[in-house]
Amino acid sequence: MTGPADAAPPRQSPAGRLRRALPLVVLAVLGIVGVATSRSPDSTLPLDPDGTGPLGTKALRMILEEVGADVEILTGAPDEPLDTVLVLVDNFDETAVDGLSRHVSAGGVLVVTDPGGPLTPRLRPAGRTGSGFGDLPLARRCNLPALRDAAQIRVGSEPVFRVPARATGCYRDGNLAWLVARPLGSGTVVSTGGAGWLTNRGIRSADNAVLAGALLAPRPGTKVGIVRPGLVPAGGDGSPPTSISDLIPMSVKLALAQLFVAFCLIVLWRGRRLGKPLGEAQPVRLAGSELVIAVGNLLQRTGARSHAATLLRADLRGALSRRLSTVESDASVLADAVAARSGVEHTRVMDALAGPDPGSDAELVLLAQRAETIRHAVLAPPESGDHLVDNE
Amino acid sequence: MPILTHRLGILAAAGAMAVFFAPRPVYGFWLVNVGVVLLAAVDWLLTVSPRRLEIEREMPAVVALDTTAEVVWRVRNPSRRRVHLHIADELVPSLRPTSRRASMTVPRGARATARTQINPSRRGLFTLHRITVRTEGPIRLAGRQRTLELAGALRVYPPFRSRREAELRMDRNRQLQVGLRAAQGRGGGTEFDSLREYGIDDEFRRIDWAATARARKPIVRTYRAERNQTVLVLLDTGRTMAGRVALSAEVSEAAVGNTDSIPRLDHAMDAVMMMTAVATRLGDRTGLVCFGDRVRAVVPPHTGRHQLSAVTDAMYQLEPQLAESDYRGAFADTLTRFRRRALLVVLTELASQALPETLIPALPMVVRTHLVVIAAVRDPEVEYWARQVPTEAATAFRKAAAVQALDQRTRTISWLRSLGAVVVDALPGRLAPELADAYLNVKATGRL
Repeated sequence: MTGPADAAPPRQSPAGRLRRALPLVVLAVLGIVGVATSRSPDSTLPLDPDGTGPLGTKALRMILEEVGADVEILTGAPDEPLDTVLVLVDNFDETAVDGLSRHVSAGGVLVVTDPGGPLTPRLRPAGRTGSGFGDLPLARRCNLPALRDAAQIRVGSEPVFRVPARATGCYRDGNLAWLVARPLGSGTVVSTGGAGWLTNRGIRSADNAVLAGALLAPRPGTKVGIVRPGLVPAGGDGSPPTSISDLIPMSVKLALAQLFVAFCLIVLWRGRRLGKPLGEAQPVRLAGSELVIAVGNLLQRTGARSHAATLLRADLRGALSRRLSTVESDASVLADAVAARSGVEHTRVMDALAGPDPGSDAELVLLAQRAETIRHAVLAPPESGDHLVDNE
Repeated sequence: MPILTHRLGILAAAGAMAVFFAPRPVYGFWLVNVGVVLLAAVDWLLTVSPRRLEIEREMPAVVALDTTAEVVWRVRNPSRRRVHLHIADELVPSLRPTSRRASMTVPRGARATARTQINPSRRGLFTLHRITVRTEGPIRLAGRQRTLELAGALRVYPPFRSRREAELRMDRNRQLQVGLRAAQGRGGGTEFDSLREYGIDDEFRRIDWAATARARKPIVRTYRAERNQTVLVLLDTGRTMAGRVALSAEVSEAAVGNTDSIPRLDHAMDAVMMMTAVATRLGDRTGLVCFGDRVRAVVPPHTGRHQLSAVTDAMYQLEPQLAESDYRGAFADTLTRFRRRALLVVLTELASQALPETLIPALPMVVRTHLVVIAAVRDPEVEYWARQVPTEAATAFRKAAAVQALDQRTRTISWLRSLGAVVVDALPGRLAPELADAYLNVKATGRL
């Protein structure tokens, strides 16, 4: 049984298509890597204690130091006992949470401006302050003695909470509180609806700075720790991300590794070609007129203008004498005949036939042009019948 | 060794998406890769071996240069599986194949064919030894590859560019012979052919008075060119024949150096074919002697249509030798082999500085016993440079060099003529016709 299946005519191979798409893929990967690496993980992050921009918290740090606090910038749970610890972004892992909880239980104060995170899992937002347009003044409305000087603060649209049992809520908006203080062990965990009030822009409003001082540095000499916010959870040892790879999720890393595997497979596919390259000895390619070019170059390089002029004049004399049937050797007779036939001045013809040798290349060019003009004037229409030369 | 396909790479790349979205990326990564490896392994195991396939290559034995021919690959699949395969043949770049590779799918027990076009860019013998076959598995993730022995040969003959000119001359000669034109040119042959009635343009001297008396009306004798004469073409394949000369006699400033060109040897081969075609058609015996520093090929004189094929077959593989031509040795060899008087056509190059020491001293050996015609092709580029109006020093010096070369060529031609040789020095495209005209002229005048 036969079932001929004619093959399709040659079309572009997968390799060709892949080769065309490869630059785009490389550009895309380079673009992604470029964008990823262009972001610096340091002071440009919001809420950074060293950040001097509107969203930084450098002002808070300076205020605390102004009121006599001993401020330390942390990257995780404190290694040594502190009076107060401020957590601006709560994205700690379990180890760090345990460390901070032990700090509170030992009598410390923990201020968390990112409620609902691992440190305050039970504190869920029940509403927001204001309508979202501009800062909203909030009155204290609680009896915490520490906050007696901070009667009114201003915050943006931030979450407010239902106050749990055994906790105290301040800066209320109706039944909901923006600040919740909850005892834990011998210490206290204070949660606020957000961290905007501590930024360089927010801390100057109303009594925000007073509240910050009251919570974090109630007396001179207080040891305050500010945990530097990071993009990813800090490690168990509290170490911050040290390279860009730490910022890349594992799934992305493995997907990239899978792409590398695919790339290797493509390389293996392309590495084995279909049939060996074909070598082929080619015959020598040499222009037939190469010798003439070489002789011309040699004449020019050696400055053989006189010899070149002699050749051109001999050629002209030969052509003219053949056409006019005159004696080639007698230039004067030939010039007379040319002048009579063509109207070209006798002196010009004589100059072309037997003038002085050219003193420069320009004079040689002029001689060649003049010789060709005279030839054309005498021989026009051009010579013909030169193709067949025989002895018939 | 297994062959991977691009599909395997694409599959692995697609697996990156699965890894990215997997609930457990690490497990997903290993799962994807193990799966890919397993699929490739199974596919490779199920791949039909290229050795089981029956492959044939069909192509013409002879192709003329610059013409198109077809190469066909036929594959039979005796296995019980459908095969998708790729083949790569040894079609070298000079054959200018559309593609030397092809892909096809062959059902089990069936045949399939693939075709490609070739358009050879140089003449010669092209031998093909092997073909590489790659088969892919059922899901085309992996495959096998083998290079199989598959011998073949392709002869690329020189093109007979002057074929139309040859036909024209043969038709003209045939018309003269059958008397379609009463007014013949010079001569018209010397061998008696037949008697016919007198025509108004016939010469009185051709009237056969005895036949006229018998027929009681004027009868003239008709003559034809002598037949069975010998034409020996000596083709020079020395170093000077390697120089490339434009195909066309038309040269312009813009085209200088950029024209299509072929070696002088190829111009000469065209003239050889022209001579062979015309002379054998006129009933003469034509032979060929190719020589460089030694005699390289000899075709004994014969008549008949097959002689053109024999001559072409002797020439098509010859490339110019980078050595000085030994005219004396070639003439001596020719005289030894062929003693009968012949028209000896020497196709060579006249611009060589060495001619006064090589060709000219050797020429008396043959002019005594043979009628010698020396033919060469002129370089239109050199002629153009010699008549160019220069605008800068370089072109002025080049003009002087071109003038010198042409003058030297003219002197050489005069020298050869003085020794008794007929010289045909023609521009490209005109060499073969003018050489044929010279031959016809010799025939008409009965000089041979």
